Amino acid sequence: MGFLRNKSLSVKLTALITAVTTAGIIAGFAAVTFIDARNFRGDLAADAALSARLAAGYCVAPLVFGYAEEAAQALEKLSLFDDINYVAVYDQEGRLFARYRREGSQGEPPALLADPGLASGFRAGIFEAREPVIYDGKRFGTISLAVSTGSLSRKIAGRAGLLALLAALMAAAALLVALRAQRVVSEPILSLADMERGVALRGDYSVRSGISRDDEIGALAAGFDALLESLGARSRERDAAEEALRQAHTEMEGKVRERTAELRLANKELEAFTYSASHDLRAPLRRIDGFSSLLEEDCAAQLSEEGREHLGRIRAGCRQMAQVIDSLLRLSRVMRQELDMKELDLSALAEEIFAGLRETEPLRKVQFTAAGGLTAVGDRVLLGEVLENLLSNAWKFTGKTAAPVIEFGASEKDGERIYFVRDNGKGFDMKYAGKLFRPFQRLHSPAEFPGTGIGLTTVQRIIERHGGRIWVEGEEDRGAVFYFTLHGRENGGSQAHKEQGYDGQTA
Amino acid sequence: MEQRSLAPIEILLVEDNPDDVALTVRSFKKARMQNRISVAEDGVEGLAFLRREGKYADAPRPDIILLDLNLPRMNGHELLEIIKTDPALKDIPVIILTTSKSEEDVLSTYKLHSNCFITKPVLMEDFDRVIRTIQDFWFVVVKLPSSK
Repeated sequence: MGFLRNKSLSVKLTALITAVTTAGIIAGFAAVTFIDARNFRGDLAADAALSARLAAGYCVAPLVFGYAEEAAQALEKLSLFDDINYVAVYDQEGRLFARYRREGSQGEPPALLADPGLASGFRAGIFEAREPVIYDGKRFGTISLAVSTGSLSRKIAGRAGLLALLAALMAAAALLVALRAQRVVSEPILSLADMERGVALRGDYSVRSGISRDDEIGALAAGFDALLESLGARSRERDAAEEALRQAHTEMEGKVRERTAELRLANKELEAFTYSASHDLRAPLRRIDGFSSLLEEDCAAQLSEEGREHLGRIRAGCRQMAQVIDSLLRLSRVMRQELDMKELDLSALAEEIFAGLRETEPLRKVQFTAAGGLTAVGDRVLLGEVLENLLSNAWKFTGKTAAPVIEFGASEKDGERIYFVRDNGKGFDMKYAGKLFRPFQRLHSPAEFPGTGIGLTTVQRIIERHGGRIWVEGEEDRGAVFYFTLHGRENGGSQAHKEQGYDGQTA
Repeated sequence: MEQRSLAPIEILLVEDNPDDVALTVRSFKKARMQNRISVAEDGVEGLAFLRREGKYADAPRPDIILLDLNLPRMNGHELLEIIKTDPALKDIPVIILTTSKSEEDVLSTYKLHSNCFITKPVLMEDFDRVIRTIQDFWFVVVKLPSSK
């Protein structure tokens, strides 16, 4: 019944009921037809045997005395029986003695009795009954009586046809009954299935089966309703939780947006302040240095040695302040400037910068090595500033070292490339490592190693804007190694902004 | 480097701050080339000078203009725009000489066809170097249209 597998339950039930009923009817009727046919044949044989015995009775005397005419007349009497095709009398030798043949009937008694030992039986199209003609214990001949089996076949066929018609009618009736009967079972199941589909599609847990019965289907429906009840309850709980979460999320988002806007504004203001303050400091400082220089040039004669020395200090102060202002301006610009990301050859950049450093002090002998082929994606100007700062720091802090060595290179760790700038110069105590990147934090006296204290802060901001990190290792009088990573993309920029802003303010 | 001509170079300095004027004039005085600096205190004065209006009727035509940006009445941007759209004046090189380091100013003045943008260095020795470079470049290296 494989073809029924995907049919609906109602079709299955209907087909099953109808098939079983019809098979029963057909089997029953077939048995009836078989028994009927046997009975019919038995009746026919018995009738034929009786007729043959009758004919034998009629023919005793004529056969004994050899009156063939008499025998034929006697046989005529059997014309009363419609089914008899012919009756023939054979003598002891099996020769035809007399015969009767129905007009228009089929078959002819043979002239000689074929196979005298043959008993009565059904032959082609007929039933032949044989009866010996016996007188006084002596056999004088044989009667052969042929009965047509045509009527028998018709009778059996008629009966079978009738039964087939009945069977068909009963099968139809069974189908009707099955159609009704299956509803009792399948309809509630189908309605449950429909409801379940609806629940699955619309997620509406408020529907109920509405089926209330004491059988298994009732239990199924009740179980289903209970399931829907608990699902509905859980769904409502979940909806409520989701709604609460959504609200909290929206609220949080709003707060974050607000804070971000505030922060952005604060950063902008701070940057603008840094920028304009640096800018506005430049003009008066220019005047101080300019007129000090004029004083030096014009009134050198009127000034004492001491006066000239004071002027020199004023101008040195101006120089230092100008550097600080420039560094602050650069720091401010580093934070504001759009990144122009490009593929860069950092090795070549480092070589170029170092060549520039050599030019500033051609007499110094410093061994410099840069690993070849170190490329990165970044802003050329800003990463140039990073290398410039780190290399000039190394240059500066190896100023008092006997055999200065400066190295630019990179290593891989956990799939991340770590660049480094190493020197064997003055170094520092690791307990101050955290302070190094803070603005205006200096570990050495300006007299020993001059600087503004803003360079490394700027470097850190640039690295952060490139999505990287920077850290340092050092040992006093042994040297320092600055490590940094780059991810070639801008992130954490606003974070860096924030730090820069507050650091800048406390400075 | 050979001297261009015996006639002094005519420079127009448009600058409102007298201190800055004094320092600039002083710096030019140290230069090797003979030059004459005229000063206009704002854009309006500068334009009158260039167009020889009023008291500037006899003003010389400058070989080069040094222009500050923050000026009263008519600022540097406005004056620059007028000069660079005036057929009679636009061939005079205009050097923006300002304390500003603003990228916006750099961009906007180049868009108005300034010839170069120089931020005044804070330290006098750096400023002297810049003035020397201006002279070497504009009056020795570069060939300018003959103004007389």
